[in-house]
Amino acid sequence: MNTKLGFIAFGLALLAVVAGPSYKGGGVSINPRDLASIVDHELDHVTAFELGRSIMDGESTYIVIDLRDSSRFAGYHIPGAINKSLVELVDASYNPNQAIVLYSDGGVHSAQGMFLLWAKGYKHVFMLKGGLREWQEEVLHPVIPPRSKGRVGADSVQLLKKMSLFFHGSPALRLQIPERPRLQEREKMRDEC
Amino acid sequence: METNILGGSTMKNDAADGLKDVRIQGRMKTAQRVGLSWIKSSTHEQPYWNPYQAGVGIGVVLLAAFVLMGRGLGASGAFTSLVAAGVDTIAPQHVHSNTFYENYLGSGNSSPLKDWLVFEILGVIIGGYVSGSMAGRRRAFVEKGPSMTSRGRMAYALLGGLIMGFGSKLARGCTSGQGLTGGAVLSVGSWVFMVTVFSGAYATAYFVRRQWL
Amino acid sequence: MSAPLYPNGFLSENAGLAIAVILGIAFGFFLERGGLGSARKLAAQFYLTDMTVFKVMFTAIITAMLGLFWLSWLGILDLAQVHVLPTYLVPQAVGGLIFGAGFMMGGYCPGTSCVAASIGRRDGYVHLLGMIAGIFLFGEVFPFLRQFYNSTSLGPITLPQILGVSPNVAMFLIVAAAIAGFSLATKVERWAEHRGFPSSKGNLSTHP
Repeated sequence: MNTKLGFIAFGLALLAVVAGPSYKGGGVSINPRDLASIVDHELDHVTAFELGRSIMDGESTYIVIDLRDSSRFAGYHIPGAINKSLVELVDASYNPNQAIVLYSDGGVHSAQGMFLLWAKGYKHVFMLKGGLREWQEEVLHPVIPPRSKGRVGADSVQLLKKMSLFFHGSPALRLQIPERPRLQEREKMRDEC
Repeated sequence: METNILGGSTMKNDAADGLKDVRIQGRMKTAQRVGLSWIKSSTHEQPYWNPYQAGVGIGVVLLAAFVLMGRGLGASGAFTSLVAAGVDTIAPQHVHSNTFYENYLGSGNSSPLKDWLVFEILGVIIGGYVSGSMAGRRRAFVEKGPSMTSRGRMAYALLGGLIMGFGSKLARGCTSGQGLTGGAVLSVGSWVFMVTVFSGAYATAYFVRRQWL
Repeated sequence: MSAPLYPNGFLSENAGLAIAVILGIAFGFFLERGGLGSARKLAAQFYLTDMTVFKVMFTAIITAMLGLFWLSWLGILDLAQVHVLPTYLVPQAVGGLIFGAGFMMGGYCPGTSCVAASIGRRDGYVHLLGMIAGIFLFGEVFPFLRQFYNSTSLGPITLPQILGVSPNVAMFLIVAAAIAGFSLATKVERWAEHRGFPSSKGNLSTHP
């Protein structure tokens, strides 16, 4: 019985060597309805707050890609980001399980890049909602409300200040109470079991 | 002389033991077919399965988890949820001092106990119970070697559990999560973890041998 | 490509939880069947007299590994949606050493201590308590460990990637190594038994 099992396992493994690649990514296929649904449910983006927080906490396993031209990239880029043009982005190959965040000035180029990578079969691609503009507003120069309430409220003031200083920005105190950043309620796969 | 629900006897009688065993096994097989064998645990301990068969069984369960849920099995995460839920119940402010607990509690919309691993662990307990009952291995005692006291063994179990629990969090999983699941998807960290687990255990074996000698 | 079912939306969250229980039952069942609910058997692995732990674990790993490959090759399973645990090299290595020491001392791992507790072993209950305490301890010192915990993150890299071979070849090498390992393990068992190392055979001490 044991030898039978052993032979089956060995046979399956040996066959695999000549069988060719198991992950059939690379070919282009689009399921429009799925993609539209993803965008509708806002599962396609991360907010600047989320990204900033995960970088700051050192818990980020994203690859962050800046799609602007290289001179703008040299001027300022999100710490840890790498610079690629849309063509370079599409030509490169990535680990299919790797999460990727794309950003540009606003959202147009990153959205285009995201659709292209989805078409290539990558599933874990997100765009930075609002692009670098939102990064500046929410992370670098956030507005600190004078008063805050609720369970998340008190912490978020401290957190906004801390995050802004971490990225060498400058928080600003204003009198009007702006919208508090919301954490996305996306199902997140934990890094542990 | 003890009798179990199946009417077989377990009186030790050297000469006729073999024959009796066969008859008891026959009765047990019938009971299993009818589905009653776990109602009362048999006093006759059956031998364990061949490890490769058990391994294939677990492998198929693991594969089913990937195919159905896109994730593998785990264990230590369930207990972390328990601890996080406990801390949140007893001292909710404390939770916010620490991203460790916060990650496990999510946004507060649903209980941390409504977690896939918690439900899986409940199943593990049931499954172990069923298998142990069916095989006559369900008994309340302390497993240890002959030259160890029960108290001593329990102390080792407690301390060992504590160290192991700490290590499992640092490594982001245990032998089920990182070992089986991470191993099957060929994650580098998981394989490294497995190697260091075996290394750490082999290195410690000499120092705790009194438990088992 | 419709599997994995849950990430593709074919199963509700509650269906997923029900599946968790069912898979858990099967998992616990097979663990106990193989004898992994016995601390003595688990410990004997590290005295070389009973290599069941090694045999069961690696058989399970290669079964699932082959299954994942072939289901993906047949186009049934989308591997991109199968979660690959990310690698944090140093914390996992150090955590593994600590885990291994605790495993040896306590005689169980988290899953098997549940199985042991379910069949009445008192040391299993105590081990669970210890584990919960250990997790709590970790949570309390986490702020000091946080940087270390997140260090050396390499992302979801796999063995084929760092070995520089295709997944097919890596798989073959692993299966071949496992089979060789199993036959070697059986020989080692006999040798160690002969040398009188702590064994899992013989009458269990039945002190309550």
